[in-house]
Amino acid sequence: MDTQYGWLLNLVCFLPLVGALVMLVFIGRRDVVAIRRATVAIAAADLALALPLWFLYRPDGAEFQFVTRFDWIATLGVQVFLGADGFAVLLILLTTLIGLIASISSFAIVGQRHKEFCAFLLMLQTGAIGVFSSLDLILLFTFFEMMLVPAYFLIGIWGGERRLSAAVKFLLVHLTGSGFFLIGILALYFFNADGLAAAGLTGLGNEPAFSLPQLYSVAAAIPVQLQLWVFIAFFLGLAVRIPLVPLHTWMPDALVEAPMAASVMLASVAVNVGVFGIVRVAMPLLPHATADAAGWVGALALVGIVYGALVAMAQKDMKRLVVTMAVSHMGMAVLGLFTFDGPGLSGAMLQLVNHGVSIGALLLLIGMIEQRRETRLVGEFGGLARVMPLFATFFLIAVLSAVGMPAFNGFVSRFLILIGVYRQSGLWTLIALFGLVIGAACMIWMYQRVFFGEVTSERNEVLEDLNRRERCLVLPLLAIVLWIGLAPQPVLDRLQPTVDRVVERMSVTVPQAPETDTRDAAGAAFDDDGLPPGEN
Amino acid sequence: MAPAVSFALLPEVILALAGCALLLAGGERRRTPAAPVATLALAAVLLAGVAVMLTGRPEAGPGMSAGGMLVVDELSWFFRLLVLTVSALVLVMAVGPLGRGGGGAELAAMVLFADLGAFLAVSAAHFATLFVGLELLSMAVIVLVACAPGGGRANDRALKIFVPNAALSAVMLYGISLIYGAVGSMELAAVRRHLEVLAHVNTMVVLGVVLIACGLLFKAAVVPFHLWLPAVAGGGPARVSAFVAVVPTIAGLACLVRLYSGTFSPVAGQWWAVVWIASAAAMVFGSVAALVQDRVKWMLADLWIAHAGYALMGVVAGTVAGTRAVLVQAAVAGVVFAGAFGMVALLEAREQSAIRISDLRGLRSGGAPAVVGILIFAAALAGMPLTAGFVGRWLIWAAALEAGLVWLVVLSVAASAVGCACCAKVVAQVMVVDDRPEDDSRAAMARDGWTSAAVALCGLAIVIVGLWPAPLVAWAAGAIG
Repeated sequence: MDTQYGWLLNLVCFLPLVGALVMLVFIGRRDVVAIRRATVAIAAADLALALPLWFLYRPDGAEFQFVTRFDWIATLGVQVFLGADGFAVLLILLTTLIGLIASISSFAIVGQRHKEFCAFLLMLQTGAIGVFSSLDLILLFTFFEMMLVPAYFLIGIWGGERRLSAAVKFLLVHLTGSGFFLIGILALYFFNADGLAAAGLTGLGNEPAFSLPQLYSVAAAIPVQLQLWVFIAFFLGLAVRIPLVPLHTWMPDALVEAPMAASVMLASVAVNVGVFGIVRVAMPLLPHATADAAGWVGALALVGIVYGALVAMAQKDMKRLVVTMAVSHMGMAVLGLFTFDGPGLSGAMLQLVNHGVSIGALLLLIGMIEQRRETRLVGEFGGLARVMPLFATFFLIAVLSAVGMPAFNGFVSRFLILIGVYRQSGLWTLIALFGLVIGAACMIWMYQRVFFGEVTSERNEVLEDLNRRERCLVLPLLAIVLWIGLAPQPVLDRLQPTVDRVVERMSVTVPQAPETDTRDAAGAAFDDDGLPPGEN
Repeated sequence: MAPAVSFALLPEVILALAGCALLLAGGERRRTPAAPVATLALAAVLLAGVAVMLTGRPEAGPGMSAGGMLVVDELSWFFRLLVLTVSALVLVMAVGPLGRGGGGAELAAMVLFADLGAFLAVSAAHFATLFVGLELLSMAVIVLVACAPGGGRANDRALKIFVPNAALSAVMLYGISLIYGAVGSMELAAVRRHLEVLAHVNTMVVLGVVLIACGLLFKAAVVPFHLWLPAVAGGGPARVSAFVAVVPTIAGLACLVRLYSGTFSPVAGQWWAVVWIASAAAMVFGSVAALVQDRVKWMLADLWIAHAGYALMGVVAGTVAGTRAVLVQAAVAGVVFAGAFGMVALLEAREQSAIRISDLRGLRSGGAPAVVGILIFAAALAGMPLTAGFVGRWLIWAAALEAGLVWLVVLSVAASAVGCACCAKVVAQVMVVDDRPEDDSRAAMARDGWTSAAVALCGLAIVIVGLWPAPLVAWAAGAIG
């Protein structure tokens, strides 16, 4: 536990929320310029504060750094307990960057109620950063729920035609999931303390606590049966957020209906909390159950990869196509996680960042063309490369990043994930590759139809290329695309401690594969009955 | 010890005297000005509160008063203060209307008599006081409903409590007599002692325990004895609804806690399933009925039924943590619903009939206080973190889970999500829908300083408890002893 610079993490986490509240109270509704300035200033300050975290984080240091800890509800053992590991630092940095871009991009789109829009964006940012930095389960749950309220309003108030039904669907699915997540938390809590006498479960007799590091230390003692139930509860809460097929149905609706800035925040940042939760909560606390479930969850992830790509093929709307591809991308990340293997885990964590960057750039670019033409239908376009060369170049880089072309960031994470998967099962690798190829084909086909060929519509002849503000919005994301694509090592270095710890914690269930024969380990970990060897 | 015993009844004496004084002051033909009535009633409530604080919390274990008919313990201390808090909030909200309609003195007197009944019921040490207290409470509430100005067909509504109340009181009385027949005593402590040493549970005890449960479930407005609440609280003026929905049901819950987590706990196997089913049915029915409800007050009444179901989970759990959770949940729900009904009262000022959810459309442009208020109450009703509603829900789920009631908790999570959806529906009308109708059917915030102050106080309490629940949790924990 390293408490140095704890104040900095606090500041990064709460600055957007406090800023939003101050803005709500002190800036007039009609003073749009001041609202914009304040929002961008807050988001920029948050990014500026988050950057030092990246450099101050020491990969060889304590597991959680920048720690703050004090009692919240002493009688129940609830604490305000914040801290970050390398994975969290990376996601916090991504969140603040996307937050800044989203708040700038909201300038052109939001016609009315600008103040509330900006305030909700900032609140969503605090919610996400809070989830990434909570080390107390109740605090984590609080931030988890806190993300839903602004997201609900962002979709519901500023969304498209069917915004209300999309928002309500979003809220209902998430709330039900979180209810089960809370039950899982409570079950662990009781097990750590006095147990659940009525359920025939004796506890460990520790001080009641929701603190993650303390629960990590008792994880080995949690019986397999309890782990399984808690895992189901956690999984219901987290799979909704990822989203994993078949709990993904809220996502295309919500993201398509949401306005540009909000859909960027939701697609690049908010969905990350699901995968993050699996790494932070499910794997270290419930290693046996997570290993047991690997077959099922991996299968769901594979279905997601292929299904997302296939459904994307059938889309006529560019935004819906990209959002549907996101289901496939997140499936890839989950598949990587459930290899429990160094490269797979690194790849999965990196995939979150890559997905955030590439889908963020794509949604921004689609939003920009939608502003010009007021349509997103692929069929309405053609030959844009000649009219808008810069836009076409940017879009191409984003597409190549999203499909995982070598030298672009998407390639690094997918390659690592596939290495991890291949060590477990050749068949699964093939299925995943199949999904990737379909997805790539569908994205590139879309690109070809929109940008190449003749200019089919007169209205496309007069489109203006990107202006300076738009260029500034997309360029940082494209820079990250190339940076991670060409030199991913600094990022991977920071992820390594988290990866090592996960592998170590999972190693109680997954036997290390003997060097000579990796096939056996593969068969064992993904056994059909879902039980790891030596478990009965 | 004699003086101490007589002082122990001081809160009840204050309420009774003030109630009588108000009745005398407000003769039928005389129009009493609002200010003295409200002042007297509020002063009585505050004085009773002070008296409860001073006499009601014995340091050295529970004390008996009124010749062993009443017990002065921490449970009664907690619930009496809670009843007084809600009454004070309702009285503050009613300062304005009390002056307008006339007959304000009777209404205030009925509030005080209802409090007196609730006091006797929650501190009963004997079935007789329990019954007398509950009946006094019910009668006062019935008169209150019948006399309340505004909202037509008050007599209809009063009948809707009166008739089932008469029937279920008889049922409860029959249950009490069966228990008396089985164990030969009406003192709760003695009954418990007998039940503990009972060699085998006979039919009389089972029937008695279940029949008493029916009577109390009716008071607490739990399915299947809930039908009176939406009809009465939904149709009447919102301020009266606040009182009628909260105080009798909280007294019913308190009696359920005292009897079923205490006196009848030795025979828990006999009644456990009944309360389990009632709790589950109340949560599911309340949430679903609220979701399909279009009128705001009816929706709140249905949500109250769901909240009573959540609270009952703590009784089903039957543990110390369960009792603590019931207390916290009752306190939280009391304040949340009092404030929410007050909010409705503010919104209904312009029109006499019940507002519908669609009337709230575009209320956002009516100013920040309305929006912030509705957001806070909706969040608390939905049980979102950082509001008091979450604290109650969380402790209840924790207690139920600890007692192994996994399926009840799962059911409750589902019901809670449905309840959230109905809060989201209201919020969507306020925040999301923009086309504000220009006709007069829309709702608007009334200018009523007293009501606004009471509602603001509730909202503030919800947020403070949500951010810093430690004191409330500690208070409830202390109330179990």
